[in-house]
Amino acid sequence: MPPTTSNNTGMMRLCDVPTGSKATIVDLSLTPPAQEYLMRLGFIPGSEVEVVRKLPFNGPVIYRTLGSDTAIRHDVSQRIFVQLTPQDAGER
Amino acid sequence: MKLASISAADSCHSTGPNVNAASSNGVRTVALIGPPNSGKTTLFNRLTMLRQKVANYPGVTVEHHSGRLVGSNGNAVALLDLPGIHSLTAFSEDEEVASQALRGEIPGVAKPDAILVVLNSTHLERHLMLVPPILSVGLPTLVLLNMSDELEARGGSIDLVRLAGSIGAPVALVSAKNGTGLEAVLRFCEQPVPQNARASLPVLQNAPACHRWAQHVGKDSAYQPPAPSAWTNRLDGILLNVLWGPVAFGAVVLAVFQSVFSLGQPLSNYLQALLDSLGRAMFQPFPVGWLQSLLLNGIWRGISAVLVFVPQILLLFLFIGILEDSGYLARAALIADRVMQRIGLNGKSFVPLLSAYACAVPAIMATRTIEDKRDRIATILITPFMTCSARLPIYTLTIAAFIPEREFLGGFFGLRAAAMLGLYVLGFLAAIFTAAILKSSVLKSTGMPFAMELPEYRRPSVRSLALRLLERCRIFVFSAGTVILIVAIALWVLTYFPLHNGHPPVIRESAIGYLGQSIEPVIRPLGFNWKIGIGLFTSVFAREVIVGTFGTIYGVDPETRSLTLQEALRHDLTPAGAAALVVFFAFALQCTSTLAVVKRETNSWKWPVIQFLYMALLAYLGAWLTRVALSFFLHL
Repeated sequence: MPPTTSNNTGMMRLCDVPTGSKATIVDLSLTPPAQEYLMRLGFIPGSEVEVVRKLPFNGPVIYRTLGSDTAIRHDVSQRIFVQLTPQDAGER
Repeated sequence: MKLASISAADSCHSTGPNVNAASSNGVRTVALIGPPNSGKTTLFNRLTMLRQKVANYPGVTVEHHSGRLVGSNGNAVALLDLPGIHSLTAFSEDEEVASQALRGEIPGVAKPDAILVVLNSTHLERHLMLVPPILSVGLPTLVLLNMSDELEARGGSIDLVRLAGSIGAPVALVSAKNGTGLEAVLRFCEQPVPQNARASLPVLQNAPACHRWAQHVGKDSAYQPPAPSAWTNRLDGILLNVLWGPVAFGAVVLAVFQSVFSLGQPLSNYLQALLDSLGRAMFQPFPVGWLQSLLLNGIWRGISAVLVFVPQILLLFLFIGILEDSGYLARAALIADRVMQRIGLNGKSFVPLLSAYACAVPAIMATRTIEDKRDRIATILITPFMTCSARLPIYTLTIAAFIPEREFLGGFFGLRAAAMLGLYVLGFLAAIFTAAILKSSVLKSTGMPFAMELPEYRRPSVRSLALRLLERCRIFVFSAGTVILIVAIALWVLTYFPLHNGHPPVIRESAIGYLGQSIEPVIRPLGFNWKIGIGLFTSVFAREVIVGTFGTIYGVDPETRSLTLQEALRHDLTPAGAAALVVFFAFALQCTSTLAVVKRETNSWKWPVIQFLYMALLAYLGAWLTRVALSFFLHL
């Protein structure tokens, strides 16, 4: 049930963040063009991402970044590392 | 220096043609640029109405729209619509083209004198990131915050004066959908205001730097982002639900397919009949001879062949337009993505591929919703494998002639229906097979991750839909239409010559008849004789033509004259040969209109030629294997 964290600092993969939770992007482990592309869509290290909705059968997941919604596939979201925002402090 | 030359242009614009304008006709050129989902196309259509041209940039599949608008003082301004982009980093073909066009580096495209940047005012945190690279081009720029109606409705706000101050360029709040705020755009197009050179732009213009700049600018101008759309959230709760999502998806997909198939097809048939009688009425008064035949059987036939596609194109684009503008198309692509991923494509290919079951022509035009160029070309290349309605005449004729009607499961399922279904499956398998090959070789993905922006749900605007429908039809009729007309005339020449005693020959002795006979050795292994060979040639124009050709050939042949078409086919083909014939038609690209549209959409002859040869090869091998297998194992 608890999401797998890589260490005790709370770093985890974006794909493991549960629906409705927010997290801060730490790093994108992708090629530079792919990084730049996703950053243009709002997946910028230091900024917040919210898991809006997960499609069934491991389909794409909708994330809210910089006030806009973007869906990406599981294979990409597992290469984005984030720091989970504690639930009670999650409200902006 | 650039700024100086622009202000010089400004000072003389009212006295006559602008000498500094790059375009030769002295008209000022303004480029329109913005991210996807910023409402850029709606604004372009709103500003230019139907005074626009669409063409491709040389050498690339990126489309190039240019139009005219009349400024506030009555002078014409050329408006150049650039592709939707997130940055000018040139990671994609679109960005490359946009960046070159802004710098005036594309031959034949006028260098812009000013820029309009369209941003979605409800997504400013993200969209402002495009502003620094655009302002760095150095041209006078107006920043348009579009969808002001939605910003207000959802409680967002911004201080325009402070925004303009911190950007260093003029700003206007507009709604392209409602047409509000457009006076400011017209005024700017008439008299571009140079940028404030002192405004600070990030030196390094990568995404994090542009983001920091956008954050700073947003804070400076007291940007209050709108609340997330409650409607969107509620609708997504249903339309992307585990259970209701697929149900709604199935219903929408079925409705689109059903209406293109069962509404578009009869409409096209009706139009064909109408055009036929119109042609006869117009050209019958001519004296019988080559001129009448050329007009009626060459030119008019070509024109009709173009026009009959219009109802299906209109219908499909009406549906896709509604789905796209309402925001559902993006959701449908998400639902289909998991399945399409398996053949190396993404969810955006689903709707075009499905509509290809009605007709490949509008389906190929519909692939323009796929942003990734490689995915788009792969989709275009596999589209003609889907069993389109033009294959049905030869399928039904052959099946009726060779397969006895036998029913299974209490009449629920028949042998003939099973054969028909088998042909549908065959085409589908060929498409999947081809996609898998293409996506693992020449069209391997660029490594760019699949990302789908999800716009809020909106009510589609009738006006914007109507403009797009008209534009699509015009492109098809005028650019694909030319190729279709040329092929129609060429086919006429081949059937009308050489003359015998001053009269046109019977089809066997015409040029196309000789072609059919000369390829007999090649098609003999498939179980086809020269009559089928002639049919293969005439059906390059359109698949359904083969049935008419058979009618003509068998009608004049003394051996088969007294037989019905079905009996004549049984006389000429073994069952194995008949199976080979339908397999050939399942794979071969016998459709000039498809080739013409592929040429138009990929902007080169390379892809249609490769596609035609590949499909012909597959058709030949498939037909040969079918015949050999059936005659060897089943002795048919």
